[in-house]
Amino acid sequence: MSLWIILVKNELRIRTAKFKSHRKLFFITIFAIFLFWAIYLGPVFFNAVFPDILSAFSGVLELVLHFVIEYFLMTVFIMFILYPLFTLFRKSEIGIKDVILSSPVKPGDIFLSEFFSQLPFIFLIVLAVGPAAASLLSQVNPQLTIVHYFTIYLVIFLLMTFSLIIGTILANWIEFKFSSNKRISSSSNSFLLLLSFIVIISFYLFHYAFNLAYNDPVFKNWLSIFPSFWYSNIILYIINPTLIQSYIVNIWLSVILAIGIPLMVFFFSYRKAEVFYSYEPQHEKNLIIKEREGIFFKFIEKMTLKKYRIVVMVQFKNFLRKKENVTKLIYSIAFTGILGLFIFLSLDNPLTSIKDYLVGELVSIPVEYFDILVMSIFSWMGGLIFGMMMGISSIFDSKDILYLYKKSTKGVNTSIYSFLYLMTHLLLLYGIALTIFFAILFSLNFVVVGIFFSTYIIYCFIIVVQLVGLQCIRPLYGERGKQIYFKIYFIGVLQVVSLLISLFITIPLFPIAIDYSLGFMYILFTNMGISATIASVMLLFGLFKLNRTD
Amino acid sequence: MLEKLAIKAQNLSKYYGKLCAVDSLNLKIPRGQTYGLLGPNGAGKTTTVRLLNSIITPSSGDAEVLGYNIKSQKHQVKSNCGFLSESPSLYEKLTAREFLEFVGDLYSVPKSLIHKRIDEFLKMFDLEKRENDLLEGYSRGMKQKVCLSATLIHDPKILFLDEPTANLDPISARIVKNLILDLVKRANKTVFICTHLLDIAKELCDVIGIINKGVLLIEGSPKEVMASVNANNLEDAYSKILNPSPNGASNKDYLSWR
Ligand SMILES: Nc1ncnc2c1ncn2[C@@H]1O[C@H](COP(=O)(O)OP(=O)(O)O)[C@@H](O)[C@H]1O
Ligand SMILES: [Mg+2]
Repeated sequence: MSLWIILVKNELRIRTAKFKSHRKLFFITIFAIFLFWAIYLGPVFFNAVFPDILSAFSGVLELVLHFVIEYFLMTVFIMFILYPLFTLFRKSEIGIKDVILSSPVKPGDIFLSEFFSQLPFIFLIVLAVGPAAASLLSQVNPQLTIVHYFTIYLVIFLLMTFSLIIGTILANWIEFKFSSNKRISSSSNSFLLLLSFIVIISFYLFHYAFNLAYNDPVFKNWLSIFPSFWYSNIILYIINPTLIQSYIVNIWLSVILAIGIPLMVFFFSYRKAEVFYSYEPQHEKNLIIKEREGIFFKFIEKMTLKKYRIVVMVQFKNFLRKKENVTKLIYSIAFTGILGLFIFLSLDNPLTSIKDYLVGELVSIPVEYFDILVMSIFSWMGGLIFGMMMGISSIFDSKDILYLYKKSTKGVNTSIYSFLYLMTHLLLLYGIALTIFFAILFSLNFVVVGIFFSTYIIYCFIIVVQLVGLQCIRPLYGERGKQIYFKIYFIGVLQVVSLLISLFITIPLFPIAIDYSLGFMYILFTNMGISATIASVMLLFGLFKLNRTD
Repeated sequence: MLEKLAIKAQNLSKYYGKLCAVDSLNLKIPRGQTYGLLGPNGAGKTTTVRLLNSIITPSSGDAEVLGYNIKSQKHQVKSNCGFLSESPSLYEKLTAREFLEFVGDLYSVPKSLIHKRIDEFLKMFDLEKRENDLLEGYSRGMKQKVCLSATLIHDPKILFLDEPTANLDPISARIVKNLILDLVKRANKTVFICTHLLDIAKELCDVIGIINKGVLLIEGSPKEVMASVNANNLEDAYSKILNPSPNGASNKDYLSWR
């Protein structure tokens, strides 16, 4: 048996330690439930719901379907390539166990095992959300059968797998360069900054190029060589073979590429892993230059209440000296900032016109409220990005640290309050910077600036509190893997749910002729209230649990 | 022809940034010998065994373990060595049996043999009743026993033991010492022990080396080492070698922190 298979098996065993006496039953049950949902329950449910919802869009759907599928798959593709880059350096913070290092496994084994042990979870996610996508498609082509549905799931799964492995290779290669190249590692701070900008700008550029290409048939034909199109071609072909008639990459080529290229990538990443993957324990260099650190920390220290000063400062230093956290910090700010820039630049590009077309049919928004609308959406999204990035940094590096707080006279709650304190510091600093940037970029007036600043800070804080609450219930002791992903997905779903709840609450209460901005404020504040309530409950419950863990 | 030397190191060095953890180390350890590397904390013992197990690559110099080069033949080196690391290196979320099965698999030991060996280890270390508990519930000493079993599960020709008895109670330490003695006498294994516990060195080792700040200061049988500095026991010799000024340590005021 190949060693990577043994490692994957082991990884799955660790993940399912709770069910150790009946693992087989556990796996069979979980997959049976998800398969039942994906093949029967989900399609039945969505096929019952969709026709009503979509009747408002009748005629539009067929028109934009082509675009939506290709655009969606490309976004997924790019997102999954970028995702590993967001958790850069997590691996080198944690390290690999000596038992593995001293055994005859090769870098390729460890690399593939880390990758493959993720796949069952991704497959479950595809099974969970797939029915919605497939049912949407079956509104256009009612002849889709279960086989088609399953092919669609497989195509999405393959696409995710393929892009994730590209991203993982890329992320590992960057870490490898950081550890092996003296010039890079000595100026790692600026390289990181540069890197994050390259990553984020290329993300937006792709979308930009996509929109441009859509109106240019020649460019479009060339663009269709891009990997995500192999997969979207298959889906389009399932719906209606004529949809891809004009492409150079026809259905057979698409299938061959979609399966063959990932297989080749797997094979070579296994054989040649030592080129991009290092598993030697690394000697961590300090990321932040000590002298500059001094002034900054003095400032923060002054800004902190006496009672918390020492603990906050200790956590702050521990937090910022982890390369992983600095990367995430840079990403979350740059991501929001460049999102703003991108929207600013593309206000009259094809994508927005389609959006306008769709939105215009349902509600028309007067231009003067556009500022508030856009900025509030920014603060919501920005809060989500910041909160998710920061909330998953481990508060306790290990169980020993948790016990250190527990045995101290200050108690374990202090550690949590100090962590939130530290987050507030970071938030205020970045909030101010981001607000100034947006204020200049969009030439906003005072009211909008005030609204953006406060909503951004509040949203970020709410998400952080929610994740901290989750961490109190089950701390992340600097571990890697599914624990983190699970927390992120959970928080993401929670936001959507609270948004839906607030819409359900507010919309029926609106008077017919409500002022747009006022109505919007209602929704915003209700949503904020609901999220904040959820966050407080989670935090309180988390603290309760944390005081009782042993 | 079989290589006579189990370990041969030539000017082996490892730098962490500017810090020299191991400084041009030369070793010649024949097969079947028990070698003890002694030294204070931070002397470079762990770094040395990690180098010899191909876990980290040397900054300069070279070494061969069982005739295999540690840089170019990593796979063979790892397959033939057993390495017990100083901190318990195991998966907290596995049971003892699952963990040992996993390690056995990593070294491609046949399934039936793995199970037979696991049974024996659990019996020997008195862990039979706990074999289905998660390792996170084990005490440090119990974890150490599991790790030691994991080190032996593929029956390696040469054993690297980093602080093997550090967390064990006297009886368990006795078991481990007898185990090591037996491994050398009856199974003709080569054993390389890193320790700062002198009784282990005195009892088990044919040859000891004392290392400090990455430099090997002296090498020889315990008797030779004692004779070289006119000491009548190993502890005396150890402190004389590491602390040449006669009463360097005793002059310190150990309560100055109050
Ligand atoms: N990964 C590492 N990064 C930086 N320095 C290290 C690393 N590992 C060990 N060292 C340094 O190397 C020296 C020797 O360490 P080690 O071999 O662990 O000593 P010993 O095992 O003898 O106590 C120490 O000064 C230690 O700080
Ligand atoms: Mg050591």
